[in-house]
Amino acid sequence: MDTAAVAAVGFVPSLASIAPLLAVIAPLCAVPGIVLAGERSQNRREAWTFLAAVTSFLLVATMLPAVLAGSRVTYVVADVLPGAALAFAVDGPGLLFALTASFLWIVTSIYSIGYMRGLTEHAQTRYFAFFAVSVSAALGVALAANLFTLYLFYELLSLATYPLVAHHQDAAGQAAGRRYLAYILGGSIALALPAMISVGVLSGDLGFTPGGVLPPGLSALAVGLILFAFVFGFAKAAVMPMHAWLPAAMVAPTPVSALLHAVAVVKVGVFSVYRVVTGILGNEHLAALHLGDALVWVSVFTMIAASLVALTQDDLKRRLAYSTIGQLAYVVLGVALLTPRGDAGALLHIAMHACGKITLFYCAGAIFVAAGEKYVSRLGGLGRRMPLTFAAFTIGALSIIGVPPTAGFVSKWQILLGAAETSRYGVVAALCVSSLLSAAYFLPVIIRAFFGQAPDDAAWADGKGKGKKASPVREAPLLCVAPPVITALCVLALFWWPDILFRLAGAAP
Amino acid sequence: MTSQLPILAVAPLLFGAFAVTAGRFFYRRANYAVAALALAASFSASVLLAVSVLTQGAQVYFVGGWPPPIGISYVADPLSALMLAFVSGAALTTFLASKTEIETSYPLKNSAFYALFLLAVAGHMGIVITGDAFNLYVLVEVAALSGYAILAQGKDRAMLSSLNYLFVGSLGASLYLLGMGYLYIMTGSLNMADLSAIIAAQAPGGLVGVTALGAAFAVILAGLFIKMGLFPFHSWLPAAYSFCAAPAAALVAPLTTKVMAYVLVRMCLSVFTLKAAWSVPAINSLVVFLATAAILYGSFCALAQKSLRRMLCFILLAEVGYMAGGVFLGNRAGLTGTIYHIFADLLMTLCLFLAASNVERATGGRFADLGGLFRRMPVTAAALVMGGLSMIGVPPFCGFFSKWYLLSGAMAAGSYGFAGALVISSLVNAVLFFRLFEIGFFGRPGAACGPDEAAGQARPGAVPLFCDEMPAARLAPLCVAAASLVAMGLLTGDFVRLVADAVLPPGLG
Repeated sequence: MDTAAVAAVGFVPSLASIAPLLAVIAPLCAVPGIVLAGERSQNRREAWTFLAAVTSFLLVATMLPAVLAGSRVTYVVADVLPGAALAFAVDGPGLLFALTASFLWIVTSIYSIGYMRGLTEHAQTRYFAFFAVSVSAALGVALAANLFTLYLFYELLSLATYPLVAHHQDAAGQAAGRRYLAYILGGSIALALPAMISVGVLSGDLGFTPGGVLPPGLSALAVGLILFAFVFGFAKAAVMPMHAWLPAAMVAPTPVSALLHAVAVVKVGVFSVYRVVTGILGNEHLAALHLGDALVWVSVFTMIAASLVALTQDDLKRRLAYSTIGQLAYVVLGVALLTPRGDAGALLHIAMHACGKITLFYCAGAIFVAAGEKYVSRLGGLGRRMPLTFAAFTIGALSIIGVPPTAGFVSKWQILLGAAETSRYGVVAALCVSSLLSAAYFLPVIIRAFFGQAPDDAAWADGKGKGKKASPVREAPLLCVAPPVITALCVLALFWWPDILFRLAGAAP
Repeated sequence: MTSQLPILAVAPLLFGAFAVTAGRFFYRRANYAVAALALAASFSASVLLAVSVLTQGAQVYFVGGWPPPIGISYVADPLSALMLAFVSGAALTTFLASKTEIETSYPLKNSAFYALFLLAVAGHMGIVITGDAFNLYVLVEVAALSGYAILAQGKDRAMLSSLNYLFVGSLGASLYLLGMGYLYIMTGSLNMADLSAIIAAQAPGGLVGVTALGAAFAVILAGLFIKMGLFPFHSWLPAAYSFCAAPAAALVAPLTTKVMAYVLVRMCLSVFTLKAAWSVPAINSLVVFLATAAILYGSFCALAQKSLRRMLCFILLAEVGYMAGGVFLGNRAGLTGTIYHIFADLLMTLCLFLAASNVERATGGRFADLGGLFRRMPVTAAALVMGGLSMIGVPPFCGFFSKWYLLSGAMAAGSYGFAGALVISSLVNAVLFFRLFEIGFFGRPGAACGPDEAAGQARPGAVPLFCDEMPAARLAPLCVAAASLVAMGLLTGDFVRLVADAVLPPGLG
């Protein structure tokens, strides 16, 4: 880059450090330990997972001071392709996502133990091994310096989650796995890869650069094709119509749904969209071609339609999945506004929604472990039996709806402001409608759980339950209940102390 | 620079073949060791040669001390030196992995097999290293004749298929000879460097644009396409490679098509020069069209196969299309893609055919019998997964990078049909391999494994680990082949810089 170009984009000091590579490698290093420990020594196996999770989180956290001070932490692994080395470059947004994913992995590891042992699932070694690979891949996407590195880890994540989705090795798992691959792998090979290569042919550079790398003078059609090939090709973002894999993937064990299908995998999708829009295509470039509007409306449609479908779902996890699709569209919407505030809102929502939605999934899993129930219509009265779980569920749901004082309000407010600043009042209205819809699909669950009547309660009151013990449903094991409580507290804390996240996302609180 | 290493890479094989043939009358038990020693010597010489060529520049050996253009020269430039190392390395790996397989497949004739094996490798090595166009024809016949003989020994229709291959292959070689005759009449020379100097000389001496030269090129191309198995000259290939014994397929499949593709590149770069090779637009577009057809035909026929090795044979047809098309896209990226893919596909085919040979030994290789494969043969299955992912084009496996360059070339040249075929082939490969993985992951194992009463009904997870796995002597070479896929991928930058850029004319866009 010549000096003029440096002056144009603003000079960002780089700090070469191996920390990003180590943070990505740390989970992979645990895999041999996990496999060798095996089913025979479960505690040793889970110790490896914890060691890797904590190490990885600490490594990510060590980069925090440098990034907050305004520099980029970079590391080049191998010069694989011209214009696209296998390299890491950690900036605020990447670190924000990496911190979220690696912190929640620690919590999910606790939860996994409670859930998998509570249900005596088979093949737990395979489960923990591929879980570690998946987290490594998600961190790789977060810390990637260029589109090629991002794509590499994106694909690694697709493949590593397949055995987790298909974990039960039954017909349902097979069907879900097939659908999962068809959307995720099909999208990335058929759309994202050609789009990436056309960017490479057009610009010769795949590094994430503020303002984008595409040469000026391309037609709106060409750039639009590339943009939408990325948006739909990164099917993990679940922008309609590329969303159908997510509800199907809910057959996986709940910790997978929690960390991967509420945090890592889906957020990798929207984060990739963020990277492509801001770092490859360029906000100004897209705004000049009026392509932001198209993406705004695609995401608004996804947001509303997914919320409407969520209303009809009786399976709790599927309802959560459709809610996730709607919430991911918020992130895409924030990115599509093409303004700094929109971007900041999108990035904040990645973290805020992650904490809220993972809480909800933990609760859904805890309910399944404790009561064996997975349908909304059969949750009556469970709130009184499992008060901690449902208190956490309530906080998570309020965050998704966007009620203060929960984290969800913070990021939604930024996106709302971003939409208002660009005079898109239709979008503001749509955001309000979407919040109402999420209230409509979450509040009935909570009300039924706390105030509804349990089927066996009625039997007990009628005297038919005589001779039977009172309903045996109690709170799930401690390892299943503690994680949702922790993340629910995070949801509350992030409302009051979001400063660091704001600084990472590059906006003033 | 003259050096002895080029001949030292080939000579041990020839002497080894004679030694093995003679040895069967004296001390038959030493034959395997003698053959392995010959291959190892040839591999070591090739590696030394490759290292010294890459560090010090091209090396030449004059056979019999006769300088060219009268005598035959063996020319080691970065491309041919590295190709030698790959060919001999692949042969050695196959030979080491197939010891038990050879002894069971050819119980009475294993000495004959060793001799033919060495001769076939010697032929392929000679084709790569020779700098004389007529000597190349002789070596093509050496490689082919020994190939016919080892492919003919197998089950079912092996002999008929090999006979068919003999007829078609002889036709291909004859066409090559005919084209060389044209060139000899025009130039009076058979030495490649001499030929290219005469062809490329400035008018009036230069031959670019002369009709007879175009005819010679077209005839040679037709011959090479037949030997490569490019659609529609492919019909001999699947039959010849699928009925023969596994070691023969694992030797010939990685070598023959790739070495003939190497000859194609060599002809275009070092004999006709790119100026003449690309001078007829009709030939360029026809070859790219045939390559597109080959990719689609191979991919879709592979979908219809019911056994592992036949599926691989049809994938091979598609890969031949990759290599032929890249040469005639008319730009640097396309040619780089072909050169890279020759090496990458050699490794992928090697890995997959070795894995297939293990799978066949344990299960018979029909898809229906592969249930529970991941638990029965974890190491072989892992190698199969790595080979499959490379074929699909997942980074960091080498298959991704050949696709990268070929797609870049196709897009830069505006050959969207070829680009589309590449993407479709990736998608079809994903279907092919994940169908296989699904059977291995979800399928019920056959009666071959586990307690009798559990066979057929056992949960996929209940199969004992490693119950059908091959001995370590077969697995170690397979693991080396699988690991090489990642190594090759990560070294792409160096490969392109040291090999492709070294042989491609500077200034080629």
